[in-house]
Amino acid sequence: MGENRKIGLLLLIFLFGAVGFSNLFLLQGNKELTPIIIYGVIVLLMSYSYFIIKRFFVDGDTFIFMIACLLTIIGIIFLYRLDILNLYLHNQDILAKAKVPRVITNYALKQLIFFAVGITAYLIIIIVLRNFENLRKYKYVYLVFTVIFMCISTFFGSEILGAKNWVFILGYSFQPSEFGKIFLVLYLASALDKYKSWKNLIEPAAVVTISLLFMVLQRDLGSALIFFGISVTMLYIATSKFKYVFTCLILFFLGSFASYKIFYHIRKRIMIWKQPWVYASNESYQLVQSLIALGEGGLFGKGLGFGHPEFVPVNASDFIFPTICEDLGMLMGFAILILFFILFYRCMRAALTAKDNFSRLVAVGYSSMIAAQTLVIVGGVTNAIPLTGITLPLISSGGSSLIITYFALGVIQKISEEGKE
Amino acid sequence: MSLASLKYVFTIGLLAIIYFIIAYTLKLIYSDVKDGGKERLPDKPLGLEVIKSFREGKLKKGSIVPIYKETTIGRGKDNTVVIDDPFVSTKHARIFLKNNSYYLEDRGSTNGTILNGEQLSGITKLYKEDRIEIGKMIFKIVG
Amino acid sequence: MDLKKNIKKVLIVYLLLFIALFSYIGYFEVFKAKDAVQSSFNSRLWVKRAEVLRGTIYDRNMSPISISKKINDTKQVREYKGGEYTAQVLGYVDEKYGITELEKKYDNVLSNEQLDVKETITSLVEGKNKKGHNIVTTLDMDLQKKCYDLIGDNKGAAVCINPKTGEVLALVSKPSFDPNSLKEDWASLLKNQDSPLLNRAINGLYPPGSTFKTVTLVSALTNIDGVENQTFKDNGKLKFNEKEWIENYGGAAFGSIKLNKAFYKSSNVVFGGLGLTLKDQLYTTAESLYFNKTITSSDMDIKKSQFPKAKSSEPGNLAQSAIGQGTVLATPMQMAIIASAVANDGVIMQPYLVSKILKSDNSSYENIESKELAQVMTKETAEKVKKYMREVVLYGTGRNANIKGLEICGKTGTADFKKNGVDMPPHSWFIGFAPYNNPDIAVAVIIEEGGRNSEKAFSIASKIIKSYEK
Repeated sequence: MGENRKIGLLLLIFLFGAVGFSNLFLLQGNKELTPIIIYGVIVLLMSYSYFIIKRFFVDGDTFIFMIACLLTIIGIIFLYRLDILNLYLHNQDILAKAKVPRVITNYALKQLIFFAVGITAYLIIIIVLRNFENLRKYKYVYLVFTVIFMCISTFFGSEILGAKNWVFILGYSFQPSEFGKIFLVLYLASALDKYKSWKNLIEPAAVVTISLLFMVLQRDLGSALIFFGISVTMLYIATSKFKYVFTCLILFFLGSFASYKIFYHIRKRIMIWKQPWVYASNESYQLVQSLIALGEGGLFGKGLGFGHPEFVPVNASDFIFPTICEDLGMLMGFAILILFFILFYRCMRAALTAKDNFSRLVAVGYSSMIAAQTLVIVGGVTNAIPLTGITLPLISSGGSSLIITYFALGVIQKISEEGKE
Repeated sequence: MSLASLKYVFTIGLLAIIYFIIAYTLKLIYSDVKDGGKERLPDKPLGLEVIKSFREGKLKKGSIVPIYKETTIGRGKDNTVVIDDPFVSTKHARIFLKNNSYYLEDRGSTNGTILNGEQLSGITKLYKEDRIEIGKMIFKIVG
Repeated sequence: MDLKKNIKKVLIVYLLLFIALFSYIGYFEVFKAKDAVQSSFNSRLWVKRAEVLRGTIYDRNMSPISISKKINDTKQVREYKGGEYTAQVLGYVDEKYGITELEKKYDNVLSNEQLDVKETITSLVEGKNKKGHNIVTTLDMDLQKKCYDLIGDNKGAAVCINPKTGEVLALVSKPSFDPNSLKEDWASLLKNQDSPLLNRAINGLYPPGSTFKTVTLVSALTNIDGVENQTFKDNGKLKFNEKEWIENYGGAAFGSIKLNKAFYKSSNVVFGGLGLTLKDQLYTTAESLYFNKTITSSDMDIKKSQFPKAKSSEPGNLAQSAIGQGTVLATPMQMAIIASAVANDGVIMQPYLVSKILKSDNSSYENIESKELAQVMTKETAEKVKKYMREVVLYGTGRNANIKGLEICGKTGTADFKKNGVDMPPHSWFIGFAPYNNPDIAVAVIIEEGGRNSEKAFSIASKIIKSYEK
């Protein structure tokens, strides 16, 4: 029965993890048991969650859950690989009596904790939440939260790596724009739900434009691009009118052109995108190192642990993709992209079976959020499009992003469940 | 073999497994999509066998009513299985198919539905040999 | 339902975006990855270079010029024993300032212990010794030093080649720098107006002046029948119109002379006139002698020398080009290989710097053979030009620097030039070879702004040749 086949998939994922983590275990100079423990925790988490889902939804779709977990596992494997490297570098620096030895990192353990939190959120949503449709009533609540999250960074934010989209509260950093995306989708879904004519579009258009403006001011161009993608996609699904999409694209080009003229930091990004090698010693250093890592990896990579991610800046979050490609090659990079598309496909399928408009729009919104983010960051680090400072969902190190993504996936799963009745 | 040479083994292993997962997933999805579009009969169709009849009529003891996608039971004439029993509500219960499994649901009947000796609450999955009591009728689920 | 179609359309749009991304990555991998990896910003290459002890560069007599020593597992230091003498020809290797010249050309050889399958297998079996290959250059360190010292306080370059084989015996450029103190000197090196980092011998472009008459001579002998028997009238001026003419140096007029005297007296009037007669043919000859063409060498990037395509409606330009002025520009290396062509029966041998690649224990790995570049003139023409060049030293402009017993042949040159429209002291050139019978060294020397005293370059050149022939 289909059931056995799906358990088969689960086991394959476990096998992948086993190979990956045992590789990590052998890579360590001091044979610590940490990777084995991490693997054990992951297996437990996944098995437990799998059976919970099965119990509450006998015929529940587990693809979304399993693919998301697989991607997260790939992330944790590589984050631990980076931890091993950073420990080694730290010790080398100590030996060489360097004044500021490189820091020891704990990306993997942190990510594991957030993974657990994310899965918990996922499970809570699909079990506890009933009648998703009811949530469409809170349009103005969503609007308020969207705007709050969008502009929090402008007023209270700190600038990191050229983008002002981090806020520090009590020593913990989080990205408000990540939360903003969640509320934006909810708001747009409730606003577009009642679409009858273009007059209904004025209010959402204003909200989206203001949000985009804040993003550009904060120099968070990646989020701006993703917002735009989500909005246009939802608009098309809601109205079925291609002319609106077309209008949005025109406005987008006009807006980009204007911002290009006005803002120096946008001109700089375009400059770097067109001629990365010319500015390699300074402005485009990160991008150049990313391209070198991609090239070094070739098709099959150099082997897990045999690349040189120490030369790639921000290798645990924004540039995790080239880090993975240097170790395991383009083939792994392609595999990850394929998995993201499959995930996107399954999520959109939930939109297909949704029973009401609001749910449908939310499903589309969250699906395109994940897909757009993947396209924008992978496009950026390979220089297909200008580089922006966002992360690869599920794989990059980062708590807010991981939890938000599992939240969105939980909602999509819930919509798909309700849709089948 | 040193770790350096082992790395080739690991790399091939990881890549092979992940592409196998992709192919496997695509295959599962494809068969999922194919089935989802059609209305097909379940692998193991179930039927309702009359164990004890209220009164001799159309539903004799031993007769079997096949359950298709949905079977409604009640006193009303629009039900699939009509039971002319005053203790049976107009819309009494419903058996439906969902993703290869059958479920029994009480439709807010006055006297309730009893499944395997217990009062039915909510929706429950049905298995072979399950006994359903509606009014004075007793049914058994058969394969 | 309408919406189902919409969702499917959206799915397809995103699918296309993913496919586009795929294709871009594939395109990058196939076409651009190699350049990315070899970029000087790739620190991984430095890690690799640091792991293996970089090979030694020797001169032709196996005296080491550039050697590396390991400080610890991941660091090594290179000592450039040739210092300023060889800074430009050998180059340097530095994490911050890059890899240049020969160090760059042979980087792969010097920093790798496995150059082919056989060596890879050997290292797998016997274990790695982590030492790169050594290379033996064709340079003669004593000669190199002599050239450098003789140029003295002047700016300029010297090139010495063996005309029979193409081996570069010395390649000097001044002013120079000390690669051992790159870090300390870098800022001032960049600001220095005299460009000490420039390798003038192969990258400096100068008007060749009268040394170019050698090319004009070759062209005349090849294209004008009976030119050797012709009598030319040199009355001191070659007029094109009322306002423009060419003069001989010092206003000299040589009267009725034959070609050989015109050559050894370096008559601008006669050779300017030859330019007018030859027209396009001079251009053809110049190109066959590698002007406007790349002198191929696997060891050096030699800048292209330039000879303009003048129109017959511009007699002034034709004449100026024929005497190596106007817009004619040549590298010292270019002029050296012209001299070596004459010395070698008209055949130019490809100039090369490295003759042997050795393994780290100095056992032989690969020998590099001389290669012919081209036959640029007939043997007869070469013989004639050789004779004419001997006469320059015996009777002509070079006789003051003639050294007994050495049988030097050559052509002196003074090249006028302007900087920002102002007349500067002209460059002093000499190209030549020795001995007359069976020449084994060809040289080109230029002293920038050496002045009208064309003897400057020649006296230096003859001393260089003397020290070589000892």
